[in-house]
Amino acid sequence: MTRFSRERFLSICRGERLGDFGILGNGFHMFWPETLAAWVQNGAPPALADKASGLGNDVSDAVSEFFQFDESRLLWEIHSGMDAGTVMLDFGGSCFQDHSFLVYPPFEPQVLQEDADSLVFLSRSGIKERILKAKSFNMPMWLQHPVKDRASWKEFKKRLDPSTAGRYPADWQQFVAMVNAIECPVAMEIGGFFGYLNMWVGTEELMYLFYDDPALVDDMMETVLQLETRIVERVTKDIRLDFVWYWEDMAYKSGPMISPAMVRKHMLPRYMKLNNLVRAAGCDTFFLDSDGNIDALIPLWLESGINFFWPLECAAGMDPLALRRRYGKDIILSGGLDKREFMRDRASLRNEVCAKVPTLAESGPYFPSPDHLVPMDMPFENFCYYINLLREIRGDEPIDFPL
Amino acid sequence: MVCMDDVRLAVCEGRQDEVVELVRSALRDQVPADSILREGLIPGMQSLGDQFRDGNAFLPEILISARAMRAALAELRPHLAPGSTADQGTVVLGTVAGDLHDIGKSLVGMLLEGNGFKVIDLGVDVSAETFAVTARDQSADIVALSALLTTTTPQFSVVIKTLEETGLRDKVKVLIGGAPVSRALADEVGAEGFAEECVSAVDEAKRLLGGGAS
Repeated sequence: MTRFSRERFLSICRGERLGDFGILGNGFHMFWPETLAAWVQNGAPPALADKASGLGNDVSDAVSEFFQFDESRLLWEIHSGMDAGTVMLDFGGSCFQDHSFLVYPPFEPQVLQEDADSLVFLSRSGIKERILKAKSFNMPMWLQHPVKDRASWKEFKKRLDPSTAGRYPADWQQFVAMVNAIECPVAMEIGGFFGYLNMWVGTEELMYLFYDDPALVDDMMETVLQLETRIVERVTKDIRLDFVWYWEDMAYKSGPMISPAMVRKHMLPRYMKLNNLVRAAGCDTFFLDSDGNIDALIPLWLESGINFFWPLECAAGMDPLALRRRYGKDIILSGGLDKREFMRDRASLRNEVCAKVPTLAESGPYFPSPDHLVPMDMPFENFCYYINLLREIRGDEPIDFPL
Repeated sequence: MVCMDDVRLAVCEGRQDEVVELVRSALRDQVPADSILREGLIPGMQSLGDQFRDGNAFLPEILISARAMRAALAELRPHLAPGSTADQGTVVLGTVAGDLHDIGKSLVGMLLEGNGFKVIDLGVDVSAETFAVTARDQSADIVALSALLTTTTPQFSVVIKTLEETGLRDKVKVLIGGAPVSRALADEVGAEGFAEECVSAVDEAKRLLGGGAS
C-alpha cells in the first residue's frame, strides 16, 4: 500500500487536481478469489490468494502491497452495509463469499442439504442458497429469501435494529482514536434503498411488491433509512468521514430494473434525508456502486447529492467519456475500463487505458479501475502491465513485478 | 360483449384478476378462444414490449403483465384448438453448465410463454448433453442459452458442438443471451440468435422461426 492522503483524495474529488488520480484498492480494484488463485498457480506470490488475509472480495494487505495500491479505509467494523461483516465460508474447499446485507445479528450459517454436485445452505443474511462443489469459488443461486410477506418481514426487521450493540466495535473510544489517526481516505457504507431489499425479498418477488404492496416496500426502505440515520448520527459525532458508500446494484445490461419514476417516488426523498445528514457532518462525497446501465438513474442520483459512480460497466453500454461530456466536473467517475479489452492482448489493453484515463483525469475527478471485479480469465501479466501503465500516466516509477 | 381493447389494456397493465374475468366473459359470449388470444392478449403483451423498448416500462411492469398473461392463458388454453396462434414453437431454455444465474433466464421464459411459445425451462447449471437430449425429446425449435459470466460463455460452443454431434444442429436454432453476450459473440460461436434483454428475446425467437419481430 502506498500513502494517499485524505486531502489529496478530496482535492481530486473536488476537481482541484486535474490530471491526478488515485490507484485505489479496496472497493475500486477488486478481484474474485478464483482470479487470485489462478494467478498464484501461474507464478504470482502465494500470499495473494490467502483467503484469511482478506475479507471476501475486499483487497487483502498482501494484494494491496503487491500492486502498491493507494490506501483507503472502509470502516468494515461498523455493520452499516453489505461488506461489513463479510466472511468467506468454506464448505470443504468450496468457498462462498457471505455478505451480511445489513443484517445484525447474522443468521447462523448452516448446510441444509448436500448432494454429489452441490450444497444448499443458509447464509448469514438468511438466504437459502445453492453452490456448486466443483468450483473453488461460487456465485450462488438464490433459492429462497427471508422476507416473503408482512409476517416474515416483521420477524426479519428485528435484525435491523440500530441499537444492537454488536453493530459497533466493542471499544468505541479505542476505535475512534484508531480511525482518527488514519491518514488515508476513510469511508463508511450507508446502505442503499434497493439493493438490500433485493437481497431480503428476491428480485422477482420485489418487482411484484412494487405493485402488490407498495406500502411494504416503503416500510422496508424507511427501516433502512432509520437504521442508517442512527448509525450516521453516532459515527459522525466522533469520526470524520471522507466519503460514504451506497450499494444498489439496481440495473442490468439495458437499463434500470425499476423506472426512474419509482426511484423518484420511493427512494429519492430518503437519499436526500440521509445525504443532508452526512453533508451536515462535513462529508460531501457520495459513492454509489451499481452494476449495469445506470444512465437513466444518474440525473436522479445527482439530484440527491450522490456524485461518485462505479463500476460503469462497458458491456452494459456505460461510457465514462460520454458521462464526462454530459456532466463535466460535477461527477466523480470510477471504473469504466472495459475488462474484456484487458483479456485480449497488451495492445488492446493499452488502447483502452490510454483512450480513457488521461482524458478522464484531466477533465475532472476520476479513479481508474476495470469495470467490475477482475475475472479469473484476466492474465496476471496483463494486470501487472495495466498497473504500470497507470503509474506511467501518473508519472510514477514502474513496479518491478516478478513475472 | 367484451371489447378486445379492454383485454389488451388489462394485460398490458398487468391487471390479472380483471383480465381473467374478461377472458371468462368473452368465452361465455362465444368469442373464439383464438380471437381472444390474437386480438386481445398477444397485442397486450406486444404493446408492453413496445413500451419497454421505448424506456417506458421496466421489470415490475413486465412481470405483472406476464403474470396476468399466464393466468389468462391458463383460462384460455382448454378452449384453444391445436395449431392455434398460441403454438409459436417450442423453446428449450436454460443457464449453461457452471453458471447458477437464473433471473434473466426465467424472465425470458415467462415472456416467451406469454407470447405463445411452449417453454421447457431446464433451470441452471445445465449440461450440453441435457440441452441436446431435451431438444431431441421435445422436438424443440429453439435452444436458448443463458450465461452471466465471461468464464461460462465458452459453454455456448460446447452446447452447439453437442447439438452437431447428435445430429440436431440443422433442426434447431440457437439463441444466446446474458450480461457479457453480444451479437459478435453469437456470430463467433455460430448461434443464429442473440438477445440483448428479455423482450428482444421474444422478437428474436419469432425472427428465428420466420415470424419476424412484432
